[in-house]
Amino acid sequence: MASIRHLTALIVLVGAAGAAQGQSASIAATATVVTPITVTGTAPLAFGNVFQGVNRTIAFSDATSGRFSLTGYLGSQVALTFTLPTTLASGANTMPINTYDVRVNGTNVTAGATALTVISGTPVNSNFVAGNLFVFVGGRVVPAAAQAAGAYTGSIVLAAAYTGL
Amino acid sequence: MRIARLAALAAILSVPALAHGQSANVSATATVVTPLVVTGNANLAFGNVFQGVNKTVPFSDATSGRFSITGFGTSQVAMTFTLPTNLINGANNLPIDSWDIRSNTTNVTAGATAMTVTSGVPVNGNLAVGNLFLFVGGRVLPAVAQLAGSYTGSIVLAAAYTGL
Repeated sequence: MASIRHLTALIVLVGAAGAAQGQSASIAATATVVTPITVTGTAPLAFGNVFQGVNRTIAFSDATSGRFSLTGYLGSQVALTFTLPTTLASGANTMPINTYDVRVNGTNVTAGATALTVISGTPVNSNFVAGNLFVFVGGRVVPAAAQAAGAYTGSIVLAAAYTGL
Repeated sequence: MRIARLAALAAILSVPALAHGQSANVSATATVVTPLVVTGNANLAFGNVFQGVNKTVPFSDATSGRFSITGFGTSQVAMTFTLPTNLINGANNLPIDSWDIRSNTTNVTAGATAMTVTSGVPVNGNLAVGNLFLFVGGRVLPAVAQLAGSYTGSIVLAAAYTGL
């Protein structure tokens, strides 16, 4: 008797349609935020007694020149923005202050200080070569011939910010 | 005579039924290709940053982040980046707000192709010659009063074959 063969093909594909196996790796993103800038006003610009009609200049190197000190990250650049009054005031009276002589040094001495070309409100760059910066501010007042007697004051402001360099 | 014809016809009709069974085989084959290997080769290092001053490291910078992927040549691979939104120093955050990620089939930045990457969303690339090199640039945004210190974050790249 003839026989009929039944052939069965069973194909099993294992894993062929399975989810792809992923691989991963990670790296770090790093940054170091450096020490912040500190700005300290250490001495006022003191013209002392002045006389009607006689201009008075205090040199940057004078003992009564204005002083600021800054600390910041070694070697970084700093933008210095001075706000300089154009007059000192005594009540309703004003006395012009029309010249400034601003210098900077990496150490707290006037010898060897570098002149800064300063325009009020405009940043000027300097550098924390040694992590410190000392600023010396001289100036000149111009009392009028009829300048009212009295104590005159004004405010010199120094703002400092890193430039990122 | 008629009986003989009928017998002959029956014999002809029964040929297929009486034939011996035949069979044939075909193979089912598959080659599992080489697996993907993802390696983190270099950190994205911003170095010193200053309060209030954004800092960008371009993808082509020497300190950009680097990954490499090896796998089967010409295959498509889905890459999923997990990108931090902040670097962290204890409880303090330093925002990292933009990324510039490029890929190349050789380990050079010149000629690398920009990738539009969204954290957690796969983006496809091709292992044209069995390798893919990824270059990761970015930008951090230190606040004016950002606390000094070391900030870190983790950039993760996961890769999987798409089957194409």
